[in-house]
Amino acid sequence: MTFDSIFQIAFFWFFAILGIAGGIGLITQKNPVMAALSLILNFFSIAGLYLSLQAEFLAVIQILVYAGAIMVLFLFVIMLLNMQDEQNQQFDVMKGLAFLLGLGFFGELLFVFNSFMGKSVSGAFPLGKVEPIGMQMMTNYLFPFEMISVVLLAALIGAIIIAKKHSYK
Amino acid sequence: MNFNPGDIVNFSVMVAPILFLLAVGLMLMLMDVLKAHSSMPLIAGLGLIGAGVLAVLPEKISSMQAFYGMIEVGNIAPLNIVFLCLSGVFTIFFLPDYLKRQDKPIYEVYTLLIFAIIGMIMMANASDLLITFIGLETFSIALYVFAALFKKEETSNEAGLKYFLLGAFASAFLLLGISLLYGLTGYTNLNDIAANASKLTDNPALFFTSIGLFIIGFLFKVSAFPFHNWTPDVYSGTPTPLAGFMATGSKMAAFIALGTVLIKLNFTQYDKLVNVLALAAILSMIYGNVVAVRQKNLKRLLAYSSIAHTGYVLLGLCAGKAGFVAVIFYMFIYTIMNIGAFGLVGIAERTLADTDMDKWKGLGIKAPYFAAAMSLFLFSMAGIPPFAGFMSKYQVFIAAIGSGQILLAVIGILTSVIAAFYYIYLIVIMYFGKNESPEVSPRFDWTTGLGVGLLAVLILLLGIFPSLVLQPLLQYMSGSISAVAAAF
Repeated sequence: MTFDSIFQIAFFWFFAILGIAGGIGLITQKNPVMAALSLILNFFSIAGLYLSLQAEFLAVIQILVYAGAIMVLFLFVIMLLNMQDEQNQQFDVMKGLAFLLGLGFFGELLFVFNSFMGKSVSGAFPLGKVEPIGMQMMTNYLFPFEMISVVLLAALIGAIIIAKKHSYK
Repeated sequence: MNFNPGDIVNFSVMVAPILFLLAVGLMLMLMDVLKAHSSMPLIAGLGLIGAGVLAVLPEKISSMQAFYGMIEVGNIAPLNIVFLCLSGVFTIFFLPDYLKRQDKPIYEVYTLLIFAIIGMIMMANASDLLITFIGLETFSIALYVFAALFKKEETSNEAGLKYFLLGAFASAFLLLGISLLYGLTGYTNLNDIAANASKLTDNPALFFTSIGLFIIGFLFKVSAFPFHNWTPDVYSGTPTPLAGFMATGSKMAAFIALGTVLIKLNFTQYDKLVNVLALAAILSMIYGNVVAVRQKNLKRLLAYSSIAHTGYVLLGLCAGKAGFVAVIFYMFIYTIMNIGAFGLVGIAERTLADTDMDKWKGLGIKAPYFAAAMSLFLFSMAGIPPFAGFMSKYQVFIAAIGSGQILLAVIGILTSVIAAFYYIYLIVIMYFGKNESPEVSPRFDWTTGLGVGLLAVLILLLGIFPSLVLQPLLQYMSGSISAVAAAF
């Protein structure tokens, strides 16, 4: 095994474990701020995984948009709402059932993902650099690229409807 | 790849209805700013009709897909646009009056309605899974806002939050399914996936997982059985005419999109997929109809009945390509009668308590036209001839029997009998309920009156002459209209 591939594997495992730790922290932390910080850890490690796939642009965007903008929003909301620590929840049959079903689904996905091992996706275009992404967005993917603006506009109007102070009761 | 700017012009002409609707939506935003509120519903309605006309206008198209295989413009796509736009038009008949009576003048609704329909058109006509997802998100966001529109009311808050959280969850399933399909084949384009179908069967576990997740996402959107739980709460918290729109337009788009994808993948050759859909159909029909019998509130009753109707459409979907025309026909008829029924409930409703069945006792004498119209829609939903609801049920049952799904058709017919019970029970309450002065006093104004009249005429007309819709459907489906021109 060459030094390069050892480094690659070490790089992957480092960020994979960090990402999973962040994910587990997110759902186990009682304090909302700590949970949000775990989520940032998760986002950063996913950016690391993108880097290991040579998708530099995605990694940068991941950090800018998710770890940057979205997390700042999350933290602001948490602090403004002055949220309390989550209370201990009682365990009941439905939750146990949901846990078992989730576990089964997780196992199924693991089994399925395992079949991807050692295969490369054919037909995919190189995503890493800004230039090919820009080329694709303005040619093949022009229509979805433009139509995303409708999604954003709809979300914007929706947010205004819900947040605006109306004169009616 | 050869890229020339002239393509963009050509493609833009091919998706003209979508661009036109976009312009209408932006114009409505401007009208809101300029305080031209009173004519907003009119402009929205005319815009939707205009988009429908634009869709069926071109007789020859240069290719079946626009924007490099992103969106379908040939085949049945123009008719999908017409049907989806009509679902919006029908809703607009009832919306202004309802918002006025509730004293909640929220004019942004019309813009969102237009954007929702753009999303539905994109999803229904997508030939790339990317567009399917973007379309789904567009109309989902609009529908989340519709559910939470009356933000000061607790039921509306509940509806909005429930729909948003569960909807986001379902979208995640759908997206995971799409990305697994992409990982399996290397394409998101449906035609490319269909051309590489051998790659799908290379890895059956992965294929069934991906398509299963994909189906789960859509079964949530159409509120089929195991994913139906949100429906009654969301519909009863949503402004009534918009709940009607939610139950029809979005379901129609979701069924067309799901059907298109499944048929392109030639799903009838995989017994497992057909069985899953058949199971969802059976359980939806039984659960929706049986639980609806016990409902005391009209909006909840219509919500459960919509779960049952989802079951009937799934039954048509199980028949594969042969049943697809029946599916679209059923959804169109359901759109007419369901928007009519929700619209009438909205006319009678001042507070949510007005939608309790008991308050409708004796309405047949006090408001004869209203009760007659409601009875017509209910008879049609129950599937009694000569109303259109009978023809739509007949079409899906025939399609199911034709593809050998006899058991499904039998269960469908049996559950229709249960359905007839609760629809007719409401009619009995209205006409024979012992209450001299019913507690609701519905009153038509000219828009709602016109809307109810139009929908009632359509129900009767399509019940007697179903070929008025079936004929164009079959023609577009077989490609005899809007065929690709040899030289353009």
